Amino acid sequence: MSKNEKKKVLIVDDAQFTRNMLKTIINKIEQIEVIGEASNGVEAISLYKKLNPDLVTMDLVMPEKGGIEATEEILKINSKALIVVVSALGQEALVLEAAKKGAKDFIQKPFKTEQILEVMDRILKNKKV
Amino acid sequence: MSSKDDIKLFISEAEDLIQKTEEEILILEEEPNSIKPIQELFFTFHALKGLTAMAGFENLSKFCHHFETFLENTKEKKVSENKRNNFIEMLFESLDVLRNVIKRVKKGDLSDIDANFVEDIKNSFDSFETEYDITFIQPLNEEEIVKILDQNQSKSFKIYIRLEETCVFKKVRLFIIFRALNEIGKICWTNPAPEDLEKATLKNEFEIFFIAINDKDSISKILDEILEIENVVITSLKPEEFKKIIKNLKEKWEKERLNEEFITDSDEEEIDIQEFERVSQIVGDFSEDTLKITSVKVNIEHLEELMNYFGELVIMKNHISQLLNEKQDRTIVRLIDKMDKPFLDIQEILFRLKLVRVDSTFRKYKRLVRDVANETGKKLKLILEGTNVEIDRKILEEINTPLVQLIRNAIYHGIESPKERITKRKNELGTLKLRTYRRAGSIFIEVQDDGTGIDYNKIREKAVKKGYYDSVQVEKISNEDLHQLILMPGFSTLSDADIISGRGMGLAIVAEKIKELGGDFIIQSQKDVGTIFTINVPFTRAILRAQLIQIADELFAIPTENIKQIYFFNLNQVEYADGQQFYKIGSKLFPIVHLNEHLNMVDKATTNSHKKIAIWCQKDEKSSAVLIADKQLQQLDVVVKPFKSNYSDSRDILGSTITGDGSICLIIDVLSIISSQLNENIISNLNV
Repeated sequence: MSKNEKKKVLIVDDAQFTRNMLKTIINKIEQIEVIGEASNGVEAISLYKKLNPDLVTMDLVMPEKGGIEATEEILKINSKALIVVVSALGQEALVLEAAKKGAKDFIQKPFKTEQILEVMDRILKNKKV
Repeated sequence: MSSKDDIKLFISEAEDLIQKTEEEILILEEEPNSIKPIQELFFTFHALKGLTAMAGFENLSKFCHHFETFLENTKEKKVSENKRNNFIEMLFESLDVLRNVIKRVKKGDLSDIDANFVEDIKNSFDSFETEYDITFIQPLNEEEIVKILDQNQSKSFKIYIRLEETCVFKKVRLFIIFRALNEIGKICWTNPAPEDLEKATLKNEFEIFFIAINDKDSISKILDEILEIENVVITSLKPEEFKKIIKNLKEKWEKERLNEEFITDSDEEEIDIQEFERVSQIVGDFSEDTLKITSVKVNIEHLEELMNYFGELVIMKNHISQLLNEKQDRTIVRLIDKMDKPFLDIQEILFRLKLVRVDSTFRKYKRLVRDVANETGKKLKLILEGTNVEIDRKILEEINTPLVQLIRNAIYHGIESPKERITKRKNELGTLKLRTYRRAGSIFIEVQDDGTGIDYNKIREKAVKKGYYDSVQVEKISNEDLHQLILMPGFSTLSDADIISGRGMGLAIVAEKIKELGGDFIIQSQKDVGTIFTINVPFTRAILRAQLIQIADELFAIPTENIKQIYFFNLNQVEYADGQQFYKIGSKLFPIVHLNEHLNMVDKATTNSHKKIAIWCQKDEKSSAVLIADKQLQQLDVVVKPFKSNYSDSRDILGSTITGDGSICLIIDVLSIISSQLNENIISNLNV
């Protein structure tokens, strides 16, 4: 992987705080960069179309349009889209729902730095840009 | 809640939600495996929770909260079958609790429900076992395994997986692992068994028996992409060994399953905390829904006022056009005529505003049927037909009581007990059908049961006993005429209800009510086949298009929707049969009704028969009649006022109206006249 070909990540979360945290962690990885942030499902879908990221981190409970619907619609746009759910504790039913809709994997809030790094590593390392 | 308006709004919203809740419970009862009603119920209870909390009913809000929480849980863990009825019963009871509070609020009593009661509800939810369904592991059966293994390329593996200790959502984790494996091969069995694996989520390790074309490395690569897996060991197995292990595991599992039917998990406290969090997460999800508003609520009183004002406007317009006709001013007459179109349009819209679909009320009958069936130990299904028929809200309200009465009667006295039905070689499950349809300006509602039917011979005995007829006379009375007896108040009393299936008292009241509405009540019955009660209410429009006619010297109106054609009366077309006059139109004969005779106006004036008109009116395809009147006048939009007469039989009068010049004119109920002419056809086919 050359330096010019960084993997692109779109962060979807309605809390600015969470977005900032995720962004800081992800931007630490040299080969990956955060190219967009969305605060609800509607924004997520339009940014996905516009930016075509390699991976999307998806919050589930958001205003306007939730993460489950957004996951479903993004996968309609690109059936191979990689979506990782970032959910709060106690949302197992929602996470399962999102997984059934096609989300690739999930992590729970509050997440540790290593977990995020691991996701990026495991999921993005084999994928071609 | 501070103001009266707030309370009104609270009541109206709560009632809507309760109604919606009830509908969904009924759907859930019909489709116990469907997730959708659970989801909908979750939303309605959630909304009720918020609403009651806002209104200050703290305990009631908690009460709704427990339902909501339980429903949220139920989405993934289904209520086990044996507890399901309990659960639905509880949901129904919750409605009663809510309705009682609303009832009290209406009376001005704003007291909350008892806190202990809420605690009881919570405890009873805790007692519910829930069970998982196999949702994402679909193990292959033995034959399938053999078949796949016979294909040379397939290899069989045992995959041992240990999850990280910190893994919380084990179920989702399993789902993701299994989904990934299913993409490259087939899962044949698991240890623990699939069902246990999905529900337990206590153990962190398990084995998967897997067939794939790929080799170890590619399986390992796929699993490597998945988070929270601590360790994976993949072992190749020989097909024979593979089959043997699965067989042993399956046998072991089936034995265990038989032994541990009544073992329950006990992690309640932990689960409670999770639930609480889950619920508080979701609360934020609803507040900012953006919805397009496509309808607004309108106060019915305002609507009625609007109708009345418009009615007056129509009368005035008619008056003006009549005055103008005399003045012969063409331009203004044309202008006034042009007004007809917008007037008609407004009228149509006003009319439609008052319409509601019958299912808004009829859906409630599902609950009624269910409750009465439970009370009486009868087994039956309710079929609703034509629920999309629209009807004037007022009329729908008015026929509610009679319909409830008919439905109760049908279940109490019509449909037999399951045991009796079996001895009669009928389906154990009785059928109650509520069929609604519109025909020629009338709404027909049939309440049909396939029960015991009316025992006419017993009615004859009773008629003799009561001294209405002697035993010879009574044999000559047709079944149809016996219906008139049944409908006589006091002919039968509750104490000897059984002789006519208990239909005495209630039916008299029903018939009276329908008559008040200007409708018809028809009974058709056959012993052991069933009974159909038909309520036929006029689809009275407050304003309708009417043909004015003259009979003798009086003005009458006929709704144009009942008229098929108007001819000049021609004596050559009159034929006689069975002592009755018929009018020949084309090749067909229709009974003649001389309106002057029918309305007792023969002596009033002499008229020239050659000037008369013949009005061909149709009730439905089968029943028509030709009404003879003296003169055809103009057509008018008339405002119908209910007509009640205490001194004469008003059966043939639909209502009255005021014409343009202020004179009163009676509207003839054509359908009633046709029915009375065609009495012999009343009992049609009962073979449903």
